[in-house]
Amino acid sequence: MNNAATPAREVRINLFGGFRQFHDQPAISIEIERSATVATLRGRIAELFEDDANARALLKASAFATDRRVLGEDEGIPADEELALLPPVCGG
Amino acid sequence: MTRMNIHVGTTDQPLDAAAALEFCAAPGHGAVDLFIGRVRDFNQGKPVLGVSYDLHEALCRNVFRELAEETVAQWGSDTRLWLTHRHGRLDVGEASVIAAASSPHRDEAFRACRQLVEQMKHRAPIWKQEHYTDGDSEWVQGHALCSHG
Repeated sequence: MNNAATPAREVRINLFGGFRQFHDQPAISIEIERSATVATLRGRIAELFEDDANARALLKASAFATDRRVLGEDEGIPADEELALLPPVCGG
Repeated sequence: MTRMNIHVGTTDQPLDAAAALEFCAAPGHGAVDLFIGRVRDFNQGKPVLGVSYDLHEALCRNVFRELAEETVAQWGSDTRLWLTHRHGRLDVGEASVIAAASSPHRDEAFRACRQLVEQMKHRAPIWKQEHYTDGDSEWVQGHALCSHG
């Protein structure tokens, strides 16, 4: 919801790994209040997957990150940076 | 991404073990440890045809750099380190990751190389999708990067 104190902005979240099977595009764009935290964003994405329990379970185990670092749950959404949704990792 | 004694990177091209050994060569280093991770043909009871690796390139390079700097801090400032990971579709037998560490003596080289590989598996934003002989494919479960409830 837009309001004067915390106008909304669009955030792009790039998808990786197992999330590629739950969405037909490589990224999700969400309009969210500028004061929103990572936890808020997680809740908004959960709404997109409300009919898919597997996607919501993967979301719960996943982290949000910028190109530089993984974000904490209580952090605000960085301005002017694309985000990434990172499922549990398994390189090698 | 190369800085003095550290080289890290990601690529969709075949990995080069000889380049890793050459980078880690130094006159005062009597030990070089080389690790090559390769795609194997069997996992959790299912025959595997190949693996598709997905990674977040920018974050991956930053995490690799961070892991390498931690490893150098742990095992000595003159330790030389190489870490590269491949992405895209790989067949059985192809190398997915190469790590190398060199130091004056073998103990530090062994430990530094192992630390680099283990931390990479737990912290680097890399995912793999296995392709099986029956035509099925599955994303492999991994280690969560987050600590929220």
